[in-house]
Amino acid sequence: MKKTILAMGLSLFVLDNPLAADALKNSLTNILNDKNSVGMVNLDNLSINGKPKPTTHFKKRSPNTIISTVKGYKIRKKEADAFLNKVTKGKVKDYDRLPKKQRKMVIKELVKIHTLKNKKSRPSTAVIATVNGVKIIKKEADSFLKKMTSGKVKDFDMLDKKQRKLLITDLARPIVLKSEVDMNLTAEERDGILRQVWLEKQKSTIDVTNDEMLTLYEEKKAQSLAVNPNAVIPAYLTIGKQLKSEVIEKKITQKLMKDVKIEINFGDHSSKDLNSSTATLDNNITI
Amino acid sequence: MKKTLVTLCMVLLLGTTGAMATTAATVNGMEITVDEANKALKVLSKGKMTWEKLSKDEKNKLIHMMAPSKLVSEASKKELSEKEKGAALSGFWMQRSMSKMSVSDETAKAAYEKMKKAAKAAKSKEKIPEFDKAKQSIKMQIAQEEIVGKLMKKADIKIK
Repeated sequence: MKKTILAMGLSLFVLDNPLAADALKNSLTNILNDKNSVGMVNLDNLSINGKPKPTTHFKKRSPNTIISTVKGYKIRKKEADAFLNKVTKGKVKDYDRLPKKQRKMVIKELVKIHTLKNKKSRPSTAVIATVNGVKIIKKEADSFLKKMTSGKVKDFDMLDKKQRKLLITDLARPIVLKSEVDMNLTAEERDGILRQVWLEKQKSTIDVTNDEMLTLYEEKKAQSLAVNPNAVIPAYLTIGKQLKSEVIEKKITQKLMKDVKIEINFGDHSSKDLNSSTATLDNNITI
Repeated sequence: MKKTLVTLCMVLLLGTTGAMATTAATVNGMEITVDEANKALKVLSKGKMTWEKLSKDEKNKLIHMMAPSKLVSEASKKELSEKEKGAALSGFWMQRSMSKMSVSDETAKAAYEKMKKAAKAAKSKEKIPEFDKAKQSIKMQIAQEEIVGKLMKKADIKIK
C-alpha cells in the first residue's frame, strides 16, 4: 500500500512541472506573436534601487478629540488641524499624520498662542523693570518694541520671558552708561561737552556767504597791516575754512548777546546794567 | 533779646557782603564769580592781573568777553534734548575709557577673520575692506564691547 502511494506521488510531481513550464512558455510566445505588443515586458513601475515605501496606517481621530491638556487648557484636534493648515499653507491638515516630535512642537505653539491670548496687559505706566534703581515703564518698552519690530509687536507683556530679557537688556544699556557717566564726569567736563555739542549744532544751521567771508578777510588784513605794514597776508583762498568758522562764531555770539542783561559788580557798591550786542567770542582785551 | 537781634543782623550783613564779593557779574541772572574772572584773567594776562586790580572799563570788557561762554552754557542746557545730552556725554566717556584700553593686533585680526567668515556664510555682497584698513575701527569696536559688557555684568537689572 505504501509503495502504491509513493509511486503515485512521484508520477504527479513529474507530470506537474512540465505543465508550469508550458504556461510560462505560452505567455512569452503570445507576447512575441501579438502584433500590438512591442515584445517587451513593461518594467516601468519596477524600482531596482529604491526601498519599498512603508505603508503607514494612521488612526484618524475625530475633530473634537482632546489631543492634549496643558495646565487646564484642553487642546482639541480641530484646533491643531487648523493651526497646521494655516502654518503649512494648506499642505498639511491632519495633526494625526505628524510624527511625535512635530506633534509636540504643534502643541507647544498652540499653548504659546493660548497663553498670549489670555495674557492681561499691564497699564502703560506700570514699572516693568529697574536698572540700577532706575525705573523702566511699560510705555518705554512698548514704543521701543514697536520701533524694533516695525510696528508688528507693540505690547511688552505679549513677549515671552526670554524676549523680555533681551528687550530690557537693550533698554538698560543707555541707563547703565548714563549712571557710569554721572559718576565719572565732573560738572566742568559735562558743561564743556554740552557747550561743544550745542555750538556744533548751531554751526550746522548757519549759512555763510562769500561776501561775509571776504569782508572779514579785508577787516583782518587791514588790522594786520595797521600793526605791521610789512606783514605777510595769506591768500584769501588758503584761509577759507578759518574765515568761515570765524563768521559763524560771530553770528552765534551776536545772536546770544542780543538783549542780554549784564550786571557788573565793580566792588564800589555800584553795579552797572549793561546791554550789549557788540562783544564777540574773539573779542580782544588789553590788560 | 536785643543782643541776639544785633548779632543776627551782623551775621546776615557779613554773609551778604561775602556773597556780593564773590560775584563779579551776572549775565541774564547767571553768576560769574570773581574766581571765574580771575581764572580767565590768569590765562589772558599770563598771571599778571586779578579782578581787583582791573579798572571799571577793563572789568566791563572782561565780563563782555566771558558772557558769550556763559550764554552758550545756558543755551546748551536749555536747548539740547535729554537724548542729545545723554549721547554726547556717553560718547565722551566712552572715548575716554577706550583711550585707556589697548586691543592687540592679534585680537583684532581674529575678530576680522570671524566677521569675514560670517559675511561669507551670509553670502553678503558687500566688499570687505583689507584688514589694515579696518583694523582701527575693529579695535575700537572690541574695546567698546568690552567696556559695555563689563558695565552690563555689574548692572542690577530686575524684570517685573
